[in-house]
Amino acid sequence: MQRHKHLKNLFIFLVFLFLYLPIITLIVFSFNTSPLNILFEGFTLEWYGKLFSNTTLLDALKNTIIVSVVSTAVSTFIGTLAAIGLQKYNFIGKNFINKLLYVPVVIPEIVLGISLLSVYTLLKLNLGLGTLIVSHIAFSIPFVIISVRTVINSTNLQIEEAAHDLGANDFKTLTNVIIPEIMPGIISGATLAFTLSLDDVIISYFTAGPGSNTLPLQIYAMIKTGITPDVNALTTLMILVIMTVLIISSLIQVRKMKKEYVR
Amino acid sequence: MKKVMVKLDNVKKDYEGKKIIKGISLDIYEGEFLTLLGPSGCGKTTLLRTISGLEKVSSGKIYIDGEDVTDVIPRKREVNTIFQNFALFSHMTVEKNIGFGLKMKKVPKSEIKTRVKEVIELIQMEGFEDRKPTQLSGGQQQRVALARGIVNKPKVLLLDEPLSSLDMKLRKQMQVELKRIQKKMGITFIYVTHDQDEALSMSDRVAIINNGVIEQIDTPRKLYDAPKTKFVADFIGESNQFNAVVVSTQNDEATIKLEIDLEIKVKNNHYDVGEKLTVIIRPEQFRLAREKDITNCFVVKTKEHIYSGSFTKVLGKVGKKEIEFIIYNDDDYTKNEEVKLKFSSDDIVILEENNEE
Repeated sequence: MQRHKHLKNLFIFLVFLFLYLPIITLIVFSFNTSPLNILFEGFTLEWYGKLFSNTTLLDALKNTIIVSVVSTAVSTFIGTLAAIGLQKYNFIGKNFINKLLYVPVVIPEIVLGISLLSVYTLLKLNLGLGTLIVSHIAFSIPFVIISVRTVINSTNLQIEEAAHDLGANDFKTLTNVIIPEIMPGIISGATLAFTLSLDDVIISYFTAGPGSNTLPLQIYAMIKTGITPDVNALTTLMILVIMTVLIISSLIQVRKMKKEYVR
Repeated sequence: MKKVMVKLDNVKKDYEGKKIIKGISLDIYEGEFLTLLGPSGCGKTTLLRTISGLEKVSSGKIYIDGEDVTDVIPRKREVNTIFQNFALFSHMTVEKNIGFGLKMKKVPKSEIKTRVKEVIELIQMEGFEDRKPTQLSGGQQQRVALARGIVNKPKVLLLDEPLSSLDMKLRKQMQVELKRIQKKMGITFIYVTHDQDEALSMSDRVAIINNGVIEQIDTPRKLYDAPKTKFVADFIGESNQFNAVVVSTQNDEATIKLEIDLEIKVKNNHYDVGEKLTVIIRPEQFRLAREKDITNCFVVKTKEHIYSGSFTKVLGKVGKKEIEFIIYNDDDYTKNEEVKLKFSSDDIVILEENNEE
């Protein structure tokens, strides 16, 4: 029994080592005095300083934030209303549309990227932040719809009738009852859209124009000439941001659970 | 003359070519507790939903407090519904749930607060104001759903099998509670159920619905003692039903022959010789017969005895006809293969066959 336990712990340790060793390496080398990712020679914050004076990277960061925030907001709005509509109304071809939703999810991103590019070329649109945002909205919507729909399907839909019965009009029913009731689905859809947009390389590669480089694209370009320590520093910062968000959100959840059940 | 609160005038409802409600007319009085009782699929819930407006009628008129509301949308009708699965808003606290209707009607905040507080006291849920529905038991959720309706002081409260998801004991408790609250508030209740115990114990009147029509509407007692159709006799309580034919009539007495080849004497109700009747005898209307009894007696071959505390239900056969009767435990009775039963012709119900179909 005891030996079993040790084996189990060893296994878990190895799994986590495999998952996190690359990330730890990256963080460690971001403090390395040597510009080569081979030997750790000494501690420095030089690369972080350099990072904040690298305007190309900072511009890319700004673009990334604009694109992901705008595309998340728009796709969450459209996707949520679409999911509600697909649930509420019956129309010819509804089943077909429901199935069609999965197509953008399963087809290779490169196909989506090329097809978006050819549409933009056909319409003679100049590639830039605009086309980038539209592309991100396009591939995010199905994810939002699917995630919201899952929650709608497990919701007691009689609440809508109950709201009408209690005197709420259609708009009030939507804003005061339906949306808050399916909020968990909307939040997870938005989170999904945000993370997909944040680290998208392939679709952005095809649909970004000059001056609308995003962070993932910029990093991709930089490592063509070898990984530099300032990329390490940048990704370390990104990890830090993501970890902070994760910790805060799980803290909020824990507090909420405590509030609801430990009474 | 009591005031009519809800009037249904020949209401019909078709759904995809199927006739769900086939022309129901019904007056429901102010402050009345009326139950729509019937087997599942009989149209009782649909009928309720036409009153709330959640379902549109195919034809006919609906009046609430004298006003024609046939084409009025649900939120403009002064009725509220308690749904079978409660349909509470899970993201709102108990207090917010109850206050929702008032908020939608733009009642001032301070008034909402006092009125919500009043009904919370009425349903005895003080101290639960800040809980979410998921933190409540089934019975508590039921109370909140009820409070959410009555706080609006609707003219009519519609209840769609509200107790069906509760366990037996809680259900009994809530039946008493519902009746208490209804009496106190004086609101007209229209209650839908398929459970006859619920219907009989709470209602002022019960409408028995079958296949989209009202079979009979009466007080619970009359429904049991004087059912007007075979369906009602069968649906309310237990009954032994016999086909019969009139053999001869004297002045105030008629001799009729039951399908089990037995002639009995009953009161003459302008019967014609040869007329077909249905005789309904409740299990408890049978008594053990003594040697000297000759008329209106059965000889029953007993098959099964089902003990139920204060009485024993006995299943038996007369000829090929299955019948059931009740033996009280203080009766002088020993389990026999054969037992002689009698009944009084004053108790039993006789239907003239032709008022069926």
